[in-house]
Amino acid sequence: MSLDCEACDALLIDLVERELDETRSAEVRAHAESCESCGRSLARLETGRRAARELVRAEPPRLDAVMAAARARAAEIRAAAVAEQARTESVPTPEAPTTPTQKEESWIDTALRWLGTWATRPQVAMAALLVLMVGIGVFNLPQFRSREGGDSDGALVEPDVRAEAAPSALDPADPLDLAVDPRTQRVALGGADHAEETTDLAHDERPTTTIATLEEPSAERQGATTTHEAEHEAPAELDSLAQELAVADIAPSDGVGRVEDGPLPEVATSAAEQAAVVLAPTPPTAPAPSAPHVATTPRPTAPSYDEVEPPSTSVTGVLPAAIHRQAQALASAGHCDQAVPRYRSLLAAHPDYAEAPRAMIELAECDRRLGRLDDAERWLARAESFPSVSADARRLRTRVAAEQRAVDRAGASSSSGSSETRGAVAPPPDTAASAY
Amino acid sequence: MDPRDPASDETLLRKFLEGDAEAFETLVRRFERPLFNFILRSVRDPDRSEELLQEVFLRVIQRAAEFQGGSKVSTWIYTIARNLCIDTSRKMVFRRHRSLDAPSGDDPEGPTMMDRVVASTPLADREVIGGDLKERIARAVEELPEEQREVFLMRELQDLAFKDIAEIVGVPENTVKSRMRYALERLQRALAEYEDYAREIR
Repeated sequence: MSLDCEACDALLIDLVERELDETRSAEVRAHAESCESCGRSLARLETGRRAARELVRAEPPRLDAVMAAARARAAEIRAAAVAEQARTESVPTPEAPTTPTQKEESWIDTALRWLGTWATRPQVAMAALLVLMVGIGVFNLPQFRSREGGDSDGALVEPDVRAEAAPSALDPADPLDLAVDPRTQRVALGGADHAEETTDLAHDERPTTTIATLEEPSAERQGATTTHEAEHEAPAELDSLAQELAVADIAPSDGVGRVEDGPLPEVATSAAEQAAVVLAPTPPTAPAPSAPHVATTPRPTAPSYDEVEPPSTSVTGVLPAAIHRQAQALASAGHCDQAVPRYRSLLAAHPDYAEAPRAMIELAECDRRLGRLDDAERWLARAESFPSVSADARRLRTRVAAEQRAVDRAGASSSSGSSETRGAVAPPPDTAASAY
Repeated sequence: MDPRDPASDETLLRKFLEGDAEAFETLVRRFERPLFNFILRSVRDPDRSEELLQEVFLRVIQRAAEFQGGSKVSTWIYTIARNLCIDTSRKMVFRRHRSLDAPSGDDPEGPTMMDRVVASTPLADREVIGGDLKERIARAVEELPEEQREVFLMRELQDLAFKDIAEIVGVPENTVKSRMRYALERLQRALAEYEDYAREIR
């Protein structure tokens, strides 16, 4: 009963709210019973407490959204925990050996991702499509399908070229050469008429050009030797044959076209000169000795256009590759002398051919083998400007340069011979370069 | 604390943070009824109260990871609820003030809300006095000053300790006790008025 009124009053609310322990509660109640003022206060508060218990509790709404959110969050937490556990388990101990493998994996992943980005690019798809089309076209060539085998002992060109042994048997493709002859005739005539016309329908000139280049090999085969005389003689024979065939389907006035930069420009120039001389007479009577090297395009109005058209469209993209393979096969078979003209015609007629830089290097190698070091040097100089083969070109160029020095040291007789050769073959690269 | 589930609020929240959704449901069951009534008596709008109740629990879900063990879960939850109620009440008071002077019916020349409130006051008093005890008490609670009402409701509905209420409200514990005492005395007066009225009727 030691409580005074003030202390008791302060504790009344605790008493009513049952915040006091039993001893304290008894003390406060005892004081309130003995004190009228404190007793009244306690009575009011207890009444208030009784009233408070009358307060109605409303029913809460369903909390489905809350429960759903809680379940979603809990699932999220569990998933994160599982992921974290997996991550920590994947790093078992902080020791050294695990780190490099992880780094390696990440490097491989990066590389794969990089390749993936390339694989999905349209350029790659177009390139793959082009390769597929060229491959199918080459495979469908009768020469490629009928012949198999062939020697591939020459260690000249790259391994992949030798792997394609079949093309080495391509050169005796007589049917193709013969079929082309009539057009060759027209070419000679047209070239004489319009030597000054340099640009015309591009799609028209391409097939005839390639046909003309394909013809060279046959001429060389007849020559059977590796000299340039063969290139001059053989075409003459073919021309006479071609002339007979061409007279039938070409009117004299149709002899329009243009001089196509021939594979052997020194011959081409002579052809142009001759053509200029024989311009006035009717075309059939004007024999063009260099017919195989000069190509013209028949105008669409030419009666024989329809006959020419099919091969032109079907062979357009394939021909440079075919010529290239032919040349490679000859080179790998050791017939560099036969390969060189093909390379030259290829480069002259198809400056845009994708493998042209590679062909330049192969041609240079042929020239080197034949001792034409100057020619080799020229082709390599041109090839060096193509980034794709510049390294190879430089390598071969140093070799050629070394041989050139050795030749220069060798003596007057051999050097005079080489200069002769150089003088004879020097023009091709320059004129061919003009085609670019 | 729910006697059927001896786990503390803090344990339940920790379990929820470990991915146990049922623990959170238990927590909701423990709080939903008192909390809803706390909100309902504070904002006096059943629809708004339901929205606010959901909002409180959604915020608890969102911020559970941020909850620090320094205070009780109940304190934390009621702090969230109290803040929401205060915000809502302010907005509602603003709306009410606007509408009090606007025509309340379809007739633009008709009596404003203020006119009707003034005119109906005697009738409302009679209705309350003539109504049952529970209505009278409910009205008395709603008429409590806000600072007393929130203390009373937290104490009465959730049985929060004065210390925790002091933490939620941000006043000393003795102040909380004083407010509780005033609230109880007001309810006592309401009950006494009712009992006087009931005696008169008999």
